[in-house]
Formats: sequence, C-alpha cells, structure tokens
Amino acid sequence: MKYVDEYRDPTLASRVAADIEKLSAGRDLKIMEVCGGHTHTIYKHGIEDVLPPNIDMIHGPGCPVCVLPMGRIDDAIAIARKENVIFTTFGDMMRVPGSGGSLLDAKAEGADIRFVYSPLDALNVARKYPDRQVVFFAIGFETTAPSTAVTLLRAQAEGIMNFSVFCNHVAVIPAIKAILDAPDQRLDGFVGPGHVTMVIGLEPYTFIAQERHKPIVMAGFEPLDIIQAVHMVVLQISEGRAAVENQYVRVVQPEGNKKALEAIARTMELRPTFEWRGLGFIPFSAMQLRPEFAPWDAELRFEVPGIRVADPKACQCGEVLRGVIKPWECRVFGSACTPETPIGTCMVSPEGACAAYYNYGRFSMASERHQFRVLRSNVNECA
Amino acid sequence: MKDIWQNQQIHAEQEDQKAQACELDEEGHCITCSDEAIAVTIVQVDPEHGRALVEVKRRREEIDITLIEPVVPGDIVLVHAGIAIGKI
Repeated sequence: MKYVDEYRDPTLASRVAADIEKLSAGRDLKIMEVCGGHTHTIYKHGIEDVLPPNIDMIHGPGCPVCVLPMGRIDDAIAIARKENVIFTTFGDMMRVPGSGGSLLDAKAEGADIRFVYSPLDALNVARKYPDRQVVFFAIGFETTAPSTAVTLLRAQAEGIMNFSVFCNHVAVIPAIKAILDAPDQRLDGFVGPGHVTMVIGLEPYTFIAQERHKPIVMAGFEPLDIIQAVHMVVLQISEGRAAVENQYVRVVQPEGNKKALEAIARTMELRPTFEWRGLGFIPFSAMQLRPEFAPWDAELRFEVPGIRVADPKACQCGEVLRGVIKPWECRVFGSACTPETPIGTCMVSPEGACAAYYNYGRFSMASERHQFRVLRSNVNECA
Repeated sequence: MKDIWQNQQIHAEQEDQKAQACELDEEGHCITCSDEAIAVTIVQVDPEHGRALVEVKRRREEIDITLIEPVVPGDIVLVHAGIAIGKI
C-alpha cells in the first residue's frame, strides 16, 4: 500500500522530532507505549534514536503472551495432555515455558497440539473431528477477544458441542490502571494501543486524563504514527493539559466497534481477579465465559491444576513489563536468556520488549542514551 | 464461489500442517501475538454467511465480516485472528 511510504518518511520524522525537542524544552519525559506491536515498531525502526534524548519510551505490558503467568501455561498443557483432546493454539504460545516445559515439548511427547491462525480454524477442526474434544487456547487483549466471541456464537448456533475455549483474554484498561497505581511509576504520558482502541473506543481511557492527569494518545503502527502520537503527548504536557486524543483517526472511531463489543458482552464477563505476570493479581482485568456458554468453557469441562507458579528466580520479566528496567538491564538478558533459550516470556514472544530489543534494538543507541540519562541525572543530584 | 473457497481452505490447511510455530512476517512480526490487526483487501463477499475472501500478502484467505459494516470488493479492512474488526 502506497501510504506505508508516507508513514515511514525519515525527513518528516526528523522534522516532527525536532518540534518535539522544542516543545519539551529539555525536560526529561517518560512516555509509556502500552502495546507490544508499538514496542516492536519502536525498536525495529530505531524510533528512540530519532526522538530527542530527553524523551524516554517506557515499554508497557501490552504483549498478551508475556503477561500470562506460568501456572496458566501449565493448565493449558494439562488440558492438551488429556485423552482425546486436540489442543489448538496461536503459534507463539507453543514455545512459552511452563514450569515443566512448553506446549511444543508436550507435542513432542505425543500430545495432539495444532497451530491455528484463528479460533474459527479451531471450530473447523471440531467439525472435522466430531469424536474428538477440540480446545482453543484463547489469549489476547480486546483486539483478539472478538474473534473468540464470534467463534463461540457460531459454536452455539450450530450446536457444536465437541469444542471449548480455555479463555485467557485480558483487558488493557485495568493493566494501565495498575501501572499508574504502582508506587515506583514516574510516567508523564501514554501512547495508547491503536487496534485495542478500534474495538473499545476512547471513552474507557477517560480516567487516565481526568483523574490521573496524564495525557494519552492512541497511535497507529507505522513509525510516523508513533512519532506523531509522542508529539501530541508532549504538546499536551507543554500546554499543561491532559486529555484522551486520537492520532489514528484513519482507523479508530471514538465510539469503537459496537458490534465487536456486543459479541464480547454476549459471550464473556470479567473475572473477579486474574494474575498478570509482573503486575500481580488485578481485579476485573481478564475475561471468562458467561454462564450461558458454560458448555464451551474448557475450565469447566476439564480439570486443571490451577496452581500458582512463581517466575524462575533469575527472571526479571515483571520489572521489564512494568517499565521499571530496560531489557538490557535484566541480569540474564543476552546471556542465559536469548530468543533461542528464553527464560521468560518477554524473550519468547517476538512482541516482548526483550525479544524486540535483542532482534533490533541492539543496533540502536538506546542503551547508550539511557546510560547518558542516568549519568546526567546523577550529576544533577550531586550539583 | 463455494468451490474456490474450498480449494483455498484445503491449500491453507496443507500450509498450516507444515508450520510448527508462529509464522513471522518479513519484519519478524507475529501479527496474532502482537494483538495487531493487518490491512487486507476484499476480493469477494458472501453476505449471507457473513464471510469474505481477502487478499493478504502471498495468499487468499476467508475471513468473518459479521462485526463490521457491509463491504464490497476493493474495500480495505483490518483483520485479526480471522475476523474483520475495522475498516480503513
């Protein structure tokens, strides 16, 4: 598509970045991009090298693979190992380590685990194998929940009873709230997730601006989308404003996608609590199937261990997910923990901050800029 | 129309069986895991079943279009996990 070129124009990027530098007037600002897709774009296109050095992009917990605690992976593997089950999953979940191995390990040991692009594919598998129990491992934020919802509605309409969903959908707003509630956060603004917002609309973010007085701007996924969104955040800060704004106007409507929200509301409800890797238990932050859809709920159909598993001692994914440390500051980054031998989920998923930095960011000046910022703030403290 | 889709589906299944893990695009990006939708072009529409045939990179796929406003061939929609959730 031709407009991709316009959204990657380096001259325009430099011009917008220069304006950001002028507006921020040398003030150190920490801006969190929530979405894993944004983290990936930032590292891949070296956006931090384009932005002025006083702008620090903090990587948020917007990777749905990364935020699943190991105990839930163990539960998925337990279901996959059950007799007569065909366990279907998005590809990236295959390599995520549980306490005793991954889904890929379980597959190597004989479990029937299959990779699908869509829960609708999983439903097709259920139609094709009526004597087998087909389970779909549902993960993702509100961008992905609609696909699970539509699949459940189809399963109900067609009376397909050998299909069930192991639901691990999570919601973005409670995660942002948990980050704002954290005592160690020093964020000045947010770049919001473009496609989640395409579904949920702008209204749920209002509390961030009105109660917490932080600007938040929804952004698209091209490099200039993100740079322009940062510009809009910094402009608000320079004017002493805090509002919910939309940079991604070509896609995001303020009211969101009402049909998608309706499908989600018909099939799912919020769990009282759910554990997020790195953020702990957050109330009303994840979805489970509504009672009307109990026949398609894998957690009711199958027994799962449901055991809470702590992260490996060496793993600092939690601190990376909260934006407290950068990937290269993790003690095992690049040594014991690499994409080939991941310890934690930030490295397993290509959208995790650590994998993104390992694959692209090492060729940027990101860590040097960070050292410079730390040094400068130490010097300022001594002066 | 149905025959074309059946052939597409068989071809897609054969491709899927070869895949062991996430299919990363040429930018090393896992679209599904990143919770990001991709833009695709509508090729054919089946409004009765709420489905459409779309062109995405190297191949044609069938998607669900029940969550967006009516579309026609040539429209660009945003798809995630097999469902269209927005329109450009």
